[in-house]
Formats: sequence, C-alpha cells, structure tokens
Amino acid sequence: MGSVLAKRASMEKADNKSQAEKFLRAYDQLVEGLFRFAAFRVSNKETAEDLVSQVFLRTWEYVQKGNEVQHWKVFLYRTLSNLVVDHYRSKKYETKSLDGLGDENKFEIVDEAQLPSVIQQNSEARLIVASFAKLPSEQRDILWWRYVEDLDVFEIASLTGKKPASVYVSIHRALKKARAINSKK
Amino acid sequence: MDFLKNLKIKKVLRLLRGIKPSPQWVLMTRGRLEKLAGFEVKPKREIFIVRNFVLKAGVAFVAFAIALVGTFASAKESLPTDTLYPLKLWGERVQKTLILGEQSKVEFALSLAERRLNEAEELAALKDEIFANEEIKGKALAVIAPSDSDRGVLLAVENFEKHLGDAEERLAKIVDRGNINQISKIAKKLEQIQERQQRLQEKLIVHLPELAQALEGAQVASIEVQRNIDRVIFTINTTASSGATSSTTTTISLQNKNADKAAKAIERAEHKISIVEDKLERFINSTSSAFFRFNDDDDEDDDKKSFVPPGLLKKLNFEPNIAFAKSKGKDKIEIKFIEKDDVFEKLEGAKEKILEAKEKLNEAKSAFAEGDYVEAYEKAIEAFKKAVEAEGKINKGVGFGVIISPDTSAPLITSISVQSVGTSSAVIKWSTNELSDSRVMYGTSTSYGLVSENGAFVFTHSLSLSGLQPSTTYHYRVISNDKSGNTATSSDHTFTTTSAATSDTTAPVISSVVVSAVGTSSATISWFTNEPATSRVNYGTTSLYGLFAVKDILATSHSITLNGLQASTSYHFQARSVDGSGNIAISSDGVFITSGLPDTTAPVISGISVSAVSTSSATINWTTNEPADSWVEFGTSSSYGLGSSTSALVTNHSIGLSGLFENTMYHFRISSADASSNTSVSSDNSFTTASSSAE
Repeated sequence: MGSVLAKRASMEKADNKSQAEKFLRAYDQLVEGLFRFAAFRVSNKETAEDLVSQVFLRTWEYVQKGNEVQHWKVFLYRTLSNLVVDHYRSKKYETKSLDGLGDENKFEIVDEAQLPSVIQQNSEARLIVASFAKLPSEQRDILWWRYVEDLDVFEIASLTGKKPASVYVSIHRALKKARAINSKK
Repeated sequence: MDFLKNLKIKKVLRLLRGIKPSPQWVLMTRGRLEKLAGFEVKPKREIFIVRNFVLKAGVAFVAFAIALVGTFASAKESLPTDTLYPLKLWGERVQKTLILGEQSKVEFALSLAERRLNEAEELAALKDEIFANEEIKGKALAVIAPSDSDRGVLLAVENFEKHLGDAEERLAKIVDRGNINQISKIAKKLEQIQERQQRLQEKLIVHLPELAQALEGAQVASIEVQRNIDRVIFTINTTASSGATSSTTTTISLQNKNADKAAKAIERAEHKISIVEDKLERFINSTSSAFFRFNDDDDEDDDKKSFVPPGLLKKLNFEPNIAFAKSKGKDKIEIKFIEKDDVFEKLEGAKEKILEAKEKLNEAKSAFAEGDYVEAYEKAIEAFKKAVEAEGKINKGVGFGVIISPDTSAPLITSISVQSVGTSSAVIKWSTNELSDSRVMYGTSTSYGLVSENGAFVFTHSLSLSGLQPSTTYHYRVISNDKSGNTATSSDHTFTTTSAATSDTTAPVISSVVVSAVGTSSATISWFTNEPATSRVNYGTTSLYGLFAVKDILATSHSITLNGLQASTSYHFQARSVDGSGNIAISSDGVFITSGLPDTTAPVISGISVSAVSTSSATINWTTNEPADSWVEFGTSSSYGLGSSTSALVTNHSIGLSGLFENTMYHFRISSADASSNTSVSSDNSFTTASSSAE
C-alpha cells in the first residue's frame, strides 16, 4: 500500500508545479469534501467552516517551513480529523456541565433542511442516513470517506494507519451493520 | 439481497455529497489562501478555477477526441459516447449474473473496471494524438458544452468507479473466508488498476496548461466535426478578443486504423469461437457425468436440496440427472438436481449459435480481403457476439464447473471385526470408504450358504447373524455394492461361537484399589480386576454411599474420576465390577478426604492476658482459633519499638518479655499469622511492671 501512495506522490512531484499551485489545486479539489466531513463531525456549519480554514492555514504553514506534502488528500483529511478531535477536547472543558455536548461520537447533519432534497423526499433514504448515524464512529468515518468522499482504500488505510485489508474488512462490516440497523427499523 | 441493500446504502451516502459549503465562503477562503500563498491569479485561467476543473477540462478534451474517432459503432467495442454503449453495459450485467462463486465475481468486477479504464485510456491516447498535431493545437481548441459525448465520458468514469467499488466490496466479503493466495492476487490486481487510474488522471492534467494557452487569445472557439467512414473533417472557428475571426479545416484519414482494428477483431472472434467450441465439445461428450455448478445465489427452491460433505462428491452418481452443487461455506455443499434434457436443449442452442458465429466470421474475412475494413470489423464483432451468446447458453445449461467422471471403482472394505460372539449369534462389522450396502455370506465351510444383508447405503456396516450353533467355527465374507453397482468382496474370515455349557459363575477379583489426584472437588479411584469387567464406584459422605459413577466398558484396569465433591470432606467409597456374565465383585469400604479450600481467613485472636508480671519481665498469653505464629510488639508508648516472636504454629500462644523497666507502663500489640500468612493484629493493650520499692 505504501508503494501505491509513494508512486502517486512521485508522480505528483514529476508534475513540477510550485507548492503554491499544488496547494491551491488541493484546495479546489478538496475543500468541498473537507467541509462536508467537518460538518458531519461537528454538526455546525460555522464551526465546520472554521475548522476547514484552519486546516488549510496550518497546512500552508507546514509547507512554508520547507516540509513537503506527499499526498494532499490524505494529509488534509488527517489534519482535519485531528482538528476535529482537538475541537471536541477543548469543547469538553467549556461545556463540562452540559450533557452530551462534548460527545465526540455525536452525529447530526446540521439540520434536516441541510440534507439534499433527494434524501429529504425519500423516507427510505432518511432511514438509511439515520442508521448511518448509529454506527460506531470509526466505521462511520470509514464509510463516509469511502462512499461520500470517494477516497480509495489505500488512502483510507494511510489516513487511519490501518492495513488496506483491514480497511476492506471495516467497510464490509460497517455496511453489514448499517444493513442490520436499517432492517430492524 | 445484501448486495442490493449495500447498493442502496452507498447510493444514499453518495447523495450526501449534496451537502456543500456556501460558494461565497469557498471563494472568500480561496482569496485568503491565494494571498497567503502569494499566488497571482491570471484572469484567463478563471474558467479552470472551479471545483473538479481537472475532470471538467479532461472531459472536454476527451469528448473532443471522441468526436474524431466515433466511426466504429459496434456494441462490443463501443466507447461510452456510442449509442450502443448501454447495450454493452447490459450485456456485461447479464454475464455477471451468470458467473458464479464469490471469487470469480470479484475477478469479474475487476475485469469490468479494467475494461472501463481501458476505454478511458484509449480516449486519453487519442487526445495525445490530437496534441501531436501541431496544426490543430496551434489554431485553437474547443470547449464543448456538456453534450451527449460529455455524458458518455462521465458514464465511463462512473461505471469504472462502480465496478471498482463493487470489486472492492466483494473482496471485503471474501477476505474472512477466502483463499489467501487468491485474495492477495486479486488485491494486487486492484492495486494495479488503481495505479493506472492515477496515471491516467495525471496524463489528463499534463495537457491543461496547453489548453489554457490555446484559449488565451481566443474569446470564442467552436468546432465542427464531420465523421465519414474513412476520414474525419473538422473545422475550427475562433474569434479573437479583437473581433477578428479565423477558420481552419483539417482532415484526418482513418483508413489504416480501421484495417488494424478489423484484423484484431477477426482474430479475437476466431479465438473466442474456438474456445467456445471446445467447451461445448467437453460437455456434450461427458453425458454420463454429473455436472456441478457452484452457485451462490439465494434461490429459495429448497425442495430438491440435500447436504453432502464435499469429499463425497466424486463418488456420487446422479445418472440420469445432472446435479447442480451449491457451495455453502467450507464444510458443506448443497446439491440440486435438474433434468438432463433441459441441459441438452441449451447445448443444442449453443451449437446453433456457434454455426452462426462461424458464418459471420467468414463474412468478415471476405470483407477484409476486399478492403472493406469497417464491414469486416462489424462482422467480426457480430461473430464474437454470437460466440459469447453460445457460451452463455452453455453456461446456463451446465454452469461453470467440474466434470466428474462416472464412478467405476469398487468400495474399499476395511476393519472387518466380529463382535458379541455368543452361543447362537454374532455381529459382523466393517467399514467402506464410500456409501455402499451390506451383505455377509456365512456358513460352516467356505461354500457359505447363508446370507444376511441390508440394502441401506452406509459407511459403517453392521450385520448380526443369528441361529448359529454353539461351539462351532463359522466361515464368512463381507460384500458391499456402491450406488453405481461396483462390488467389493472381502477374503474369507472365521469365528467360533461360544460353548453352550461354559458359563462363567466366578466373580472378578478386585485388587489394588488406589485413590489418586485428590483435589478440592474431585478424586480418582483406580483398581484392577483379574478378568474384563465393568467399573462402578459407589461413594458418599457416609458408608451408605448414595452416589455413584459408572463406566460400562469391560476392562481389567479401571479408573473413575469422581467430580463435584465438597472440599475438606471425608468420603466413603467402594469399587464395584461386573464381568460379562453378570458376576459382581465389590471392594471393601475406603475413605479419602478432599483437600481444603485455600485458607483466606485470618486467625481469630482471643483471650489476651498478661501473666507473671515482675519488675523486669512479663508473659503475654493468647489463643487463636487455628494454628498460627506468635508476635508481640511492645514498648513504653503505643508506637512500640520492641518485639518478641516465635514462628511455631500453635493455638495457645505464650511469649515472655524480659529486660523491662520496673514500674513502667508498657503498651503491646499481638499479631498471629496462619500457615497461609493470613494475619490478625490485636488492638493496643497495656500492663505495668511491678515496682521494686513496693516489695
């Protein structure tokens, strides 16, 4: 798996673009997905925007220090995941007394109205989204990355530090679980 | 059904992509980042500064390229922009449902993904060709509005992703229970395909600056493509920002390419036809065999199913039916039967299709000879299609699978034994390595004359012979027929019935009764008898026993483990053995004590007293409820500081203290630890030594 990402990275290198160009290209390609993931994890549009801006600011600082980003997609999603976790940690302190607010595993789409209308109008699709919300956070993230953001298994593996084979297994198990939850309803 | 549900879940998840950040925020953030990165934006490039610009630009190019070479319109070879493309996809779907077995499904999904990728790569290669043509590049390039051709490319990309996802998912499904080598092979393939996809994307990106450059000077660009059978004519019109317009016409001849393509198609069709023909031959020639299909569809037609262990398959003969085996996990295979006639009907259909394919192939060859390459190509593709149809019919009829040759080997008879020989009866037992019936021929000579049989097909055979004469030697041999009528016959064996007069009236003699392995809840009683006899131990907490443990096997060495005993309890027991004739022997009563539970209770200290108090000495006494050692800590304050002890484990403790000061109050504290080091410590006590002046 390492070899795949390494090869992609070397191809990216051969592309011979300036870091700034690559950085902006990564922004264009990934900003939407990153926002979506943030919105899905923090359930708040403003916070999500904030986190995604931070991701890019930090990444640019990192690049400025002379570091090289090998694989932008993985790097940015990983940075975002870390920021989301940090966000919840700091939030836990602020709102210690309020039940549930510090729960990292909470999942709500910003609100129902934010859902694409295709989903809103289809009760089955709404049920599936609801069952998705009930998955363990790790499986949920993996499914999200795989099918919503269309990351491939090698990217997810690199992102989570898992082996590709176990990512396959996780995807499979998560789907199975989602099916089970869904058919219980 | 799971597959469909998964698809549904994935579809809904993809729909979540509809959640999007606000465009204002995206633009604003980009502006900030541009400033941060010191990146200057050239106004002309703005059209690319949209999301997925790589894909969009790529699509435009590819679409342009397709316009050039869309001359071939045969389903099998069709590229995504062709009208027959949906037909091709449909054909593949049909093929997919016919392929059976989880691993082959993964492989097939992968091959489909690969095919889609090939198409995309082909399109990319065409784009290279366009760029190689300086004349075109120098003039202008077209940005084609979303059109049918754009949708075609998007369709190809989408289909590629779908198949890849499908392959991945199926792979995940078999990871848990599949063959490791197979899986790693498939995973490798998957990796390769993904690398190729990446390379393709990179390739598309390479041309972007050139596109931008070409558009630099032009305000409006349009292109007109006229496709003929052997050439493509296109006209490029550009309007510069100054308002000046220019127009260029270029023609590309397609002749050679067509000849190549047609030749390749003919070759492929020929190859396919010969493969399908071979396959048909194989199935038709093995009419007496059973065909097995490994199928994983969940059809609920359960009435004809039966479970057979996989090792048995080779030995079953399903004449005159054809068996369809269904794979079910590692340890079972499900078998279904279908009528052979159904199969032959399909095979006949396949034969016809092959003939048609050959006819088309000949037509293709003659067209090729005449130089009509497009016609040749189309005929070759038709021939190929017919061959595929023929293959489909074969597969439908008999499935992918193993041809099992008819069973011609006789069962193998092993472990013949005679048991329970009595005065007038005996039981003959043997085993066979396949299902077969049972027959014993027996008599007082090797000409036998008597028969005992059982028609059931079994692996372990047992037939009882009765009406025998006492004290007589009998000859016998065993015979087994399998379902295909192959017969196995054993060699001659003998046994002798017991004498009617001899009857055993002597009880066995029990000796060496030993109790061993006594634990807190179990103990083992062993003994010997001088003749084979059964084993039984009666036991209980009194000599009335009340409990027993039995082994009903005739043996001379006996060993019975008693379980569920209570700890630290004395048990009475007696051994009892009965020989084959019902004579009983009973041992005398024995006793054993089970081990105690681990001691976790500290001793209880009581009766603390101080005696023999003098001016310089005193004796401390106490008792404990279990043996324990003795410790006294003492001193003039409750922090003590002095000590005296003995390590002997006793219940009555007495420790003398000496070297004390006169007329002094001493504090002391006792501690006692039992054999398991459970320790009790008393509270603080005190005494005062005698005063010498008082005497």
